[in-house]
Amino acid sequence: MIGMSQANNYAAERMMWSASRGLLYLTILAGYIFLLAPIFIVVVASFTNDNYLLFPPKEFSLHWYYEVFSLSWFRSALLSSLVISVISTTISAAIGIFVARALARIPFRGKALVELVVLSPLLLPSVVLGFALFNFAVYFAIENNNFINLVAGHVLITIPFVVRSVWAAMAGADVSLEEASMSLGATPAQAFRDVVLPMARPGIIAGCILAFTYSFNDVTLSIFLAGSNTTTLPVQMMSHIETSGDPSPAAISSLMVGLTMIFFVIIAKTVGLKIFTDR
Amino acid sequence: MASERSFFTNGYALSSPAFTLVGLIALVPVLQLFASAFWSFTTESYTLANFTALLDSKMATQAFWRSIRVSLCVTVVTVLLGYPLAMGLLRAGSRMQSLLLTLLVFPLMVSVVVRAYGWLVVLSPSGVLNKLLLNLGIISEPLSLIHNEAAVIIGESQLLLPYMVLALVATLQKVDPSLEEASLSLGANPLTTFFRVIVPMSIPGLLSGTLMVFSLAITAFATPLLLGGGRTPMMTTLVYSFAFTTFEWDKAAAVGIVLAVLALFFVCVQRWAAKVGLKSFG
Amino acid sequence: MSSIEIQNLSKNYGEVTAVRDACFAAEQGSFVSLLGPSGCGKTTTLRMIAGFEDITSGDIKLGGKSIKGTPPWRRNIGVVFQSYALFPFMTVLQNICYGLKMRGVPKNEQLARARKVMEIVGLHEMENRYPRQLSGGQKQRVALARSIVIEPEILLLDEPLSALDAKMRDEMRFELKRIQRTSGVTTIFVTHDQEEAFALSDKIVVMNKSVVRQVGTPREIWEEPNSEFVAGFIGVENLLPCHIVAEDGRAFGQFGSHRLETDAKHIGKQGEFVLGIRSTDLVPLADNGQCGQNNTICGEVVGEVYTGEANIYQISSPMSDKPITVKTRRDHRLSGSVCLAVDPSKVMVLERG
Repeated sequence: MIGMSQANNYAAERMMWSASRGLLYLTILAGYIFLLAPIFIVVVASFTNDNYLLFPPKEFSLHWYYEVFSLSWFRSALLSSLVISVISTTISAAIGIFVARALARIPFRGKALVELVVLSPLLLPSVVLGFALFNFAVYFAIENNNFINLVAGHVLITIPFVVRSVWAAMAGADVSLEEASMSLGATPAQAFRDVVLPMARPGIIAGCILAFTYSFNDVTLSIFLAGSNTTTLPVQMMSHIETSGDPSPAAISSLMVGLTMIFFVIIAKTVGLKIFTDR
Repeated sequence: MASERSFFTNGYALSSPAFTLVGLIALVPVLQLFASAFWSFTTESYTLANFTALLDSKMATQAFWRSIRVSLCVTVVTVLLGYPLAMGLLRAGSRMQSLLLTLLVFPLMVSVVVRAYGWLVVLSPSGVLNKLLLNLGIISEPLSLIHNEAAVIIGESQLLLPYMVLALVATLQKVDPSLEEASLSLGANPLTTFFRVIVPMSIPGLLSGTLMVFSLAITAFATPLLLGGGRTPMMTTLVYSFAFTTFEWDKAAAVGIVLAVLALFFVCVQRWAAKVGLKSFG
Repeated sequence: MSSIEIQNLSKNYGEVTAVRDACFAAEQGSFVSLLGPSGCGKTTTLRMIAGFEDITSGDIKLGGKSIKGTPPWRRNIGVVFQSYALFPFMTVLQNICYGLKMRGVPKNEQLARARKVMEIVGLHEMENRYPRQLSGGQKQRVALARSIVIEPEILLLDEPLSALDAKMRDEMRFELKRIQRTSGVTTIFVTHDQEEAFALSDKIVVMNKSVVRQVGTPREIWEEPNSEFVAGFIGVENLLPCHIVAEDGRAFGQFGSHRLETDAKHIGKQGEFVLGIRSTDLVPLADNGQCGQNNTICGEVVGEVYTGEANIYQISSPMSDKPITVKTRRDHRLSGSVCLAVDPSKVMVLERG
């Protein structure tokens, strides 16, 4: 009899724990819904035909996408955003690869200072950096050169992404590959071109994509540097959200989510998601 | 490396372009901002007037405490949601794990503006949630869910939750799974095991996650601007409105310096904790 | 191909000395091993020869000329790395041709020379494969081919067999010897495996704690190790600290009241030494009555292990704090009190440490 009641007790306890396990799963599900639902809802709602957002939309149409592309502010802001991001990513990559090489491989005095300075745009709040750059530009009376200012600002905030990603790739590569190439007669420049760069390629690609994405999406820094001459898509979109209630930001958002998704897949395929998890 | 110096083996040569560029166009402007925060245009001398003016301004002190309050709430929310998500990620099979990781980090790459807009679509008076509640007959008037602190907390929590989860996972995945099994075999039930074994082992990750989330929350800009609206200024949005609405640039500089000092303080604490944490946890 | 001379070579990293005053030479076409435990400075020595590390003091002469200060890419030295260091994004053929390309050798000549060495090292129909598609042994062959195709003055091998499994390692050992003989290249081989060093080398340089302890042919090292360390490293089991005394033109090792005779050539030695005796050189006597006479060790069996081919016993003896190891044929079993005899010529006299 005692055995029976004990077995019953265990069964009850077991049920309690499996119920609490169910609760854990529910919490996890709720967490993911919390993370993804706003993005998902915007993308789905953007296919509405009406003049207001509805989820799910009554009927699916590309109405607002046609509408958005007919807006001149959208076209010009998209173009300048793309141009600014491409230029600043290119500059960051060009100088970031070299400094990453120094940080990853070469012992020298003052390395910690170089690291601190080069990564400082990430340590400082973007609002502060943005206002500081604006203040600086005003000092030299160049605050209306929006395009140049935006490129300069975006170079700053993209360098850390390139440097960290390329640094990790270079530090992870086998040093003896470089030594092998030198023992075979390659000068440091030839070894850099033939071995170091190809070995760091996944890191370079991932770093550039992260840099481009961050630059393209940035609003905090850009809002201080943009102006009547040149502005970026997120800045324009933000002011549009604040002033108008039509669904065009939803269509723009979906386009940006789509672009992000493409980049995300490239990163996952080249260096994997560990670039987000390792720090 | 034996002699024959080359650009590609010289740390200074390799570092100089990036070092010079960032130094010139980031650090010099920040130093100039620092100087102008302590500069008075009226007396043309260095002074603390800009900071005392902030202390006297009700809006500025409110914004300061609101920033702290909101960031603390965001940190608490991300910790509470972070543990279940981290445990789920660690316990999942490898395929499920990579799916969960993908869904966790993808939002990190999506624009902050897009994510804040998503919450507007969900929470605004004519938004998805209000429509749903109206249609279900639960409410008769749309609830005012945006342009308040709660909306900012929701938005920033969604923004920063992945960082907390990643910090917890980074620490917990190094924990020997047999510790948990040992605890269970010694008679502790799963809940006791969680609080007595898992949570203590996760302290370094919790610490770095908390510091990171708090400092990112306090420096967030687009989310408080869009979800908080004009009636709930925070430190970051205050810099912006001082700069472009009221054109009080010396005040903007002063708020900026306060913000920068706070953010750098957290960066230092985080690095220090990472160093100490590494030592004491082997 | 050249001879190489290492003269008083030293390397310091700040306060830490990695190599101190190393001296040895490799004659043209010879195979020399640097043997020692990990951290003994053998790899640092190799890296200084290759030019990857600066020399703190001393000199390296290749074919009579100093290469101190010559950068690695101008030394014409072939290096095979422990990890092989094959370029993962190049095919086998591109890997092998890389050194020739750097030397500006015309394309068709590159191809002809590459094919020739691929034949020597035994790589067939692998030209267009990538390193990840090769087995460990094949990678090893590609790494060898890549470094000998440039016809280096000297070939450096850094523990090239350690990444292979046991079976492959035995096979590659023969291959390595054959390839070295065929190409005739002077070779310096770094290893911690004494068996490998003995099997391959014309000369062995034994290193420990940054210092060269002994240089000699495998036979010299095996039969006449000069120190306690070298003897221990090549597997002399019994190392007995003692005092050397001379008497009647004979040399003895004195242990308190016991003594063991050694070869008379050690008669000039005075003071504290270590006697080295291989476990197989101790012969158990059938009659315990002979105990106490010169050149016997008496004691009790305290441990026994059967290894299949032999029995290994541990004997406690007043001559030493540690038990003495003796190996017998598998049908020869010992128990209780035993008496072990040893031929004076088999008793080595070793420097301490």
